[in-house]
Amino acid sequence: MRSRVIHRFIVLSVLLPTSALLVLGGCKHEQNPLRPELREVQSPNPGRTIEIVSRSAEIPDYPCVEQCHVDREADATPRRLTELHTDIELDHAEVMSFCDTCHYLENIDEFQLIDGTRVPFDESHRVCGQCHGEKTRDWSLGIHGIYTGSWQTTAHRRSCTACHDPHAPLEGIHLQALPVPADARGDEG
Amino acid sequence: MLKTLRRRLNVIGEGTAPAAPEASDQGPETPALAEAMGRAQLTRRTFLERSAVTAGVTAAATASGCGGPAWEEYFQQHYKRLSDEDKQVIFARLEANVKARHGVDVTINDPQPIEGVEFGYALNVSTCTGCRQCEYACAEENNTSRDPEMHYIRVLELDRTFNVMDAVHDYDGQVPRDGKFYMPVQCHHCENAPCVTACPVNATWREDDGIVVVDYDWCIGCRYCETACPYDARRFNFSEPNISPADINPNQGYLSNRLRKAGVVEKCHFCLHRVREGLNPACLEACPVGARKFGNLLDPDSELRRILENGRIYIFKEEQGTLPRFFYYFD
Repeated sequence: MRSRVIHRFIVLSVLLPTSALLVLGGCKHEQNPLRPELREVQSPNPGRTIEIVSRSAEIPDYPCVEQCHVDREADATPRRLTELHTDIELDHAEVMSFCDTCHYLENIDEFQLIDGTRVPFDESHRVCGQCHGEKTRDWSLGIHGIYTGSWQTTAHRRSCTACHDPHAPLEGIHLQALPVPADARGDEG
Repeated sequence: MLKTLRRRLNVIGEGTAPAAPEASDQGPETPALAEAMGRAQLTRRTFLERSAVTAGVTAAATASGCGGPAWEEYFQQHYKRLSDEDKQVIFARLEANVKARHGVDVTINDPQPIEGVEFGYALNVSTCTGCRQCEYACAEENNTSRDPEMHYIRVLELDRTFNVMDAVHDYDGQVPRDGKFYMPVQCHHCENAPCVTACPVNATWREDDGIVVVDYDWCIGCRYCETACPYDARRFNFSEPNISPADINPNQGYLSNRLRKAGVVEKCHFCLHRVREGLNPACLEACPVGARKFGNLLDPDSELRRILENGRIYIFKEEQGTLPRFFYYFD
């Protein structure tokens, strides 16, 4: 009888601290999780806005109507341009006939969609998005494209044509790499 | 024979018991015994105390003599033990040091972690062209040494197998090259950071917003952290960092881009002085193709969260169990 009591006491004396340790350990784990869990919390920056950087401001010839097309009508006949815009060589989708697939000829400062909707010059993603839906979705989610400015308040987003040449997009983007840093020279790892 | 042995043992016994009670009571009899006693009484504590005093005296001497570290610098406390007043004094001293040495007016700030913010970084490997713009923008922002040249970011050129062992570090010319991927590697700000565990003096730690920082005044330069890091993200100043006064970025943070000295370790800190003010890291701003994304991991509406939830994510050396805050993704 007595030995059983002692036995119980021993069992309790071992179990209690162990369970206490377990409980404490559990709490500690919750307070300081090893894994960076993505907790659902109220966004600390509800005032976050995203602005599209104006593309037209970067084009010296814009506004086109004011500078040239005021009395010169754009010709939509597919041809090789020899007089003006000679740098443009159309190498895009086969469904693109000529300028008027994207540019609104009545007012060349604007784009037009396939259904005839007129789109401001700075919203090229709406034009490109007609075919490149998936990329445009990624762009609007912030997965694709240049986002600068602030992660907290106002982000500046670049539209498609800021990086991609819409007339010949397949040429891709090639840049000159900056010099090899000293510690990366040779076969040193 | 036995007698000789006993005598020898006795001799040895006498020699190795300098702190015998009789001897200490009666006082040292010979200079040799006195020395032995002195050695016995010189415990670890007294030794450390004495050497600290000696070091202090030397420090004071050098400070007054040839522009070495000042007395306060030697006895500066760990960053976490500093009060706001202490910080003001230290920052003012550091600013004055830069002014005296380089003739540049700099401001040293100490922005604190923002409540509810844990930073994360995502890099689009499909887009990165390997142009190294981020690398140089980082050096400019963070006042890293120009000679010897030090960069926090290393861009690896990989082929389709994505085997890092075969990575090319010294590619040049027009990029991207055909069939190549580019993977810039910098500090991953691991949740389970091996460098923090390795540091014997707590000179590096993880802040509440996830940024792993270094107190350059507390670092002893043992380079254990550099060895522990699986991403080769840490850099050591083998010599005094050189930077021309015109290149010094005057907007500095105590735990980030203030000027370092020889013998300390430094690394990427997500541009702590910028991001805690709401700005993006300098490398992101410099990226010409938008491959870099930065944001708050705790904000469900952030672009970063959308990338992590929808994108195809690659965690570099995931098997190391470091739980990095830096993610690579493909689109």
